[in-house]
Amino acid sequence: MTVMTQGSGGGRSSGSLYDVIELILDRGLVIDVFVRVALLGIEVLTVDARIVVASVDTYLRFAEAANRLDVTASSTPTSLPDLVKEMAGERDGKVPALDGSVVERKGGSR
Amino acid sequence: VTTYVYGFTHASHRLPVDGLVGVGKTAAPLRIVRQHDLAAVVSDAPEGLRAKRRDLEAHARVLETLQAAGTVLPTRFGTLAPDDQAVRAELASRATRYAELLSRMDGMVEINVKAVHREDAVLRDLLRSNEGLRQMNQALRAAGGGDRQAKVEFGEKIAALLEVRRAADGERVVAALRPHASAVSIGPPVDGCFVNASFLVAAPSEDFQAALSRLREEHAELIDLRVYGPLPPYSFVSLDEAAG
Repeated sequence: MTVMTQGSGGGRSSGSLYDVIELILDRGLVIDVFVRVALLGIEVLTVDARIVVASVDTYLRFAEAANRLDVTASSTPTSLPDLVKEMAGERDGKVPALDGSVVERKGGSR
Repeated sequence: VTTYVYGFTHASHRLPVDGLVGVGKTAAPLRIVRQHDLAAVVSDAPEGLRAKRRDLEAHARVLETLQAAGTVLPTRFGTLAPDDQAVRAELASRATRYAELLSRMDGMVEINVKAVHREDAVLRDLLRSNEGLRQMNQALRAAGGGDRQAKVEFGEKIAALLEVRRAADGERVVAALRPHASAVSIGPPVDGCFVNASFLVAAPSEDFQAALSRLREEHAELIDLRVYGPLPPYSFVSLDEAAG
């Protein structure tokens, strides 16, 4: 099969496991008569991501990132940034550690 | 000993489970539980199973191996049956539903697409298209960054605009791919992505791949598109009729 996972050199690297972890944990067939082991929910990670977006730290970071950009009125607005040449950096690098157990939620099975 | 369930297949599936390792520290060997036209791939459940990387990987690897050799209905990680007999009973009691789901998934794969904005590029774009924002930016630059309060207000404004932008670009990405898939499942915005969508597509999915390439080229400067698959159809197996 063609593995077209991007950015991990293909195959199942730990990186790609992290990237599809919510599918493994939160999707898939749920059979009501069987028990599901109490684990983490990816919702923990999701909630975390939302909090980060709406925090003062994020606002400060956005402000500083914008300040680094010298976009003047003379640079005419375009629908797409055709003048942008520099590559944006990699994403935050805010990747929760996945070594060992991930996030343990207290409580019973759901 | 309870039974850990990985997934269901047609009984005619080649089931290449030899040498495959299941969940647990001792990596219990996989077993096949058969019931008429259906089969389940299972193993002994380890004590104290948790979402460890090793076990998540084992679960995913078993399903991907099965998927590569035929059709599989993946069960959610951590599904436990009291014993093999209970698995057989489940296959028997919902035989029609499982057969139906399996035939719907024949030849189909899940492709997960996550899209992330390249931050500098999207900020630049926002500044260009919004004069008020641009003026605030120039004023803060002139003031050597401005005080904390001014920065927070400016950043909050950016965040709000970015949210609008994420929604709009998210719709655009999904709209470009949707025509080439037979189903779409939208997931949560994990890890800062503004699109986390799974598409059910017929392998080898050339149309879909072509649409992805076009998207990637068109928005290369603005959007980092990450594509994972082909995967077992995690997002498209549901016993709920309405969702299926």
